[in-house]
Amino acid sequence: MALVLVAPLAFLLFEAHGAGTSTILKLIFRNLTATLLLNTVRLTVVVTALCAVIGTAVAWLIERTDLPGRRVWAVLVVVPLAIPDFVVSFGWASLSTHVSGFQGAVLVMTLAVYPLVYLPVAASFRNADPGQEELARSLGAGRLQTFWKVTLGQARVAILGGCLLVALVLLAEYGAFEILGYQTFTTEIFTEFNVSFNVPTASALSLVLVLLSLFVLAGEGLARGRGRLSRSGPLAQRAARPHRLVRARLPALLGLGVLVGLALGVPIGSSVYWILRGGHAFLTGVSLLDATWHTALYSAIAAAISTTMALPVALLAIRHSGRGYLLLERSTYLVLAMPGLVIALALSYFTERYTNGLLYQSAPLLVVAYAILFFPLALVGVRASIAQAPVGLEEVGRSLGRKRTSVLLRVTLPLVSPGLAAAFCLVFLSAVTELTATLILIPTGVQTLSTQFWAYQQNLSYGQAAPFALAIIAIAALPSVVLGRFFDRLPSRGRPAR
Amino acid sequence: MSKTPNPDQTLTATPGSESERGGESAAGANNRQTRNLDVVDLHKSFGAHPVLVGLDLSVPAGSFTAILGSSGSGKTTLLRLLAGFDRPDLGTVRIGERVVDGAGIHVQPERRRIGYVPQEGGLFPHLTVAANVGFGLSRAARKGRVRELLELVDLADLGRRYPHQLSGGQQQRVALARALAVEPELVLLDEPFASLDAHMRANVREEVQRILRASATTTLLVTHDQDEALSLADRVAVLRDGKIAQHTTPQELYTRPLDDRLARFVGEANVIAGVLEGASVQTQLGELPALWHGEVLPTPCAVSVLIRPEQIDLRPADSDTGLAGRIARTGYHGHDAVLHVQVDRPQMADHLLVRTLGETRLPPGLAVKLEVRGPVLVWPANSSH
Repeated sequence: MALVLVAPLAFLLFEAHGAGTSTILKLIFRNLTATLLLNTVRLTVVVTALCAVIGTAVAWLIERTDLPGRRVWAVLVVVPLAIPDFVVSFGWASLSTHVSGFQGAVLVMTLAVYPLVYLPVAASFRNADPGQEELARSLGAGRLQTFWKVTLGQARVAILGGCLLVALVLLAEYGAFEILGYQTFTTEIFTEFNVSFNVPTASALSLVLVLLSLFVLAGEGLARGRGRLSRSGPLAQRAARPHRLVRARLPALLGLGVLVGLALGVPIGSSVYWILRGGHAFLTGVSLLDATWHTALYSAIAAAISTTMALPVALLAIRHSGRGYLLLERSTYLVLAMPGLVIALALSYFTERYTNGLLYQSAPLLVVAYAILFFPLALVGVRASIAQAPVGLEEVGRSLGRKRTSVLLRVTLPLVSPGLAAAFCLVFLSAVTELTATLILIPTGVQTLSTQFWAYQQNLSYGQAAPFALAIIAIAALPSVVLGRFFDRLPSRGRPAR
Repeated sequence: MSKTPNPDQTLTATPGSESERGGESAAGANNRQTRNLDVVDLHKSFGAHPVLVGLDLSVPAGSFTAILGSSGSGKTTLLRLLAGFDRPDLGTVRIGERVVDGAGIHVQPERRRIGYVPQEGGLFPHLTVAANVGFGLSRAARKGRVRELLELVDLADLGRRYPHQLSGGQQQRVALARALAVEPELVLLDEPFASLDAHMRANVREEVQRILRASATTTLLVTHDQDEALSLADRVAVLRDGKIAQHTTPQELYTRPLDDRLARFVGEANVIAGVLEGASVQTQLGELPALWHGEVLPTPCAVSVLIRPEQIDLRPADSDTGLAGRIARTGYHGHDAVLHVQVDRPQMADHLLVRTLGETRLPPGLAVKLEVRGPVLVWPANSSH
């Protein structure tokens, strides 16, 4: 199975090789590449840093302080995940031509992806041992020093993990940058492939992009280091006493309000604005239903496949501690380094060449692309849930005279199912909001919500595009709330016994 | 040189002398059949690291046996092998007359009829207390039997609760009820009290002991806590270096350990040098009546002598008899105190440990006299570690 996942990469190398090494080198070492590299790296660094600061600060405010309305904020700051980046981009760009280029891209992407840092960091704040902060204070560290060394130290792995996701998303993003007129590797590859049909250039640039992603992946691994997060003492613990904000309360509320307003209010508000102005709703009614149906169908099937595939991989990796199993699991993370565009290109080229175009631009191929693309996400959810069902419980079940299958049904499955549901939601959500691969692989004569939105948006028919944007947000919002609840309840092991 | 017969022949008593109850009988629904356990030459390694190397163990039916070992000694490995979760590399395990592990045989855990209580209980978090207890029962048997068991463990009112709503001790009792529900032939307890706090531990221990005695099920308890092993079990087996170092009653283990390492592992011990002559041993603390393992020892013979702290009596410094010394340190425990006494003998650099009742305050620096109450246990000097 790892083979299937890594196949696109192999294919890319093969294609590039076919074009001739010298041609490829010539394509790579030219001015355009340098510009793209500068654009991509500059944006990735700035947005990742901003997301790290915003995500961590928001997580700290919500998890560790006496901020009023914490539960409501916890939902509001996550919902932007349900809004595709290209919709955020559309929301801003359609309102003002000033939002464009580098600054526009920084603004839009930061607002769109900071929850990727917020979620893991908030979870780690929730799980971390509050005793360590108290201990640091008793050892003579001041408030600031304690925050810097202990609190952030505890969240370090989570922050890095979030930054990794942000950087990979930025490298793979197409739609948002296209709208803002900001050129990166991904937008250029897309143009080369879909507009000028220049396959060698597209695959050469893809290679550089994959390399860049691998670089990010390796960097995160290095920065994470070998340190381990551990709790001292028994798991049963007091809840941390929240920090009192006192005079900082009003500015904190204001800051959160502005953040949510910009991240949620602007894209939704501007979509509503365009619908009200356009008045084309009766025209789009039928195609909206049709597109919604296809989006939901493809996404659901892909989510089911990904989750099912992730189960055995996660089981093997967690239950058996062998180098081989670990390698298998790690290899699937390679997929993370392959932008959706690259996977789509590889798949479409493969089917065009070797199946006589039989599967090219067919529904099964699109579903498979989704399943591969979001497999690492499914794995994350499934892993978390399997950790909830320790092997010991299965053994106890068997020693009570139950057969393996009976234990699987009565113990393992009930314990694992919330995680499976979370994995399903995660993949479903991602597939619904996917644009790049969908544009390339969409079956002829079919439209999903994102492709139809894109088509209208490209024609500057904002009034017609807006209902599709809202439909995407509506479909994606529910699973994102389910997800939020799952990750909220995850540390159930830490619950005190009484 | 003369051969001296051992004055205390009981030291050579064979283990497992209790008669086997039951034996062969048809397996019926109401058959609370408790069995003996026989383990012969059990081997288990993890990679290149051997954990069990030729372990032999014989547990009489109906007994409560504790496996005592330091952490990492392979206690849990042994339990997991017995429960059938892991396969031994070599060796035979028999429960009653039934071979469950042996040449080409490995009976699956669900067919072993063993009740296993893991550390911290291992209750199914998604099931109520009643559903946990009834997990191994058929639908028909469930209702009455679950009530019966919850009454046995004194939790009749808590059947509808979920595990996380129970205290640690209650969780342990539910886990025990769940294990007993399927009428096991053998119950395995893996450090069941380790996660409980000190004052609760004593209660839960007593409760568990009562329940298990009431059910008359053969029980194997694994622990690193010598107090627990000595006070709960009627037999204690010390697991050391991958095999059983000694397997006997708690009293025997404490008063007659097989070597000085065992003596130090179970309780506090003074081990000093001496020479055995006839039935008594010459030491720096005077001539003392001696006991030893085995029938005869050639004398005179260099020996190590075990003197437990409570075998030494403390006398005022001005008494006529006894060995003079000075208190170096005191360890106060409330009910008693352990004194570290430096004696007036150039050859004895180590402090002697002396146990006294805790009522009087004995400050460091106080001069005292010591007197040893015999008989004392000796081992030939070369056999000590």
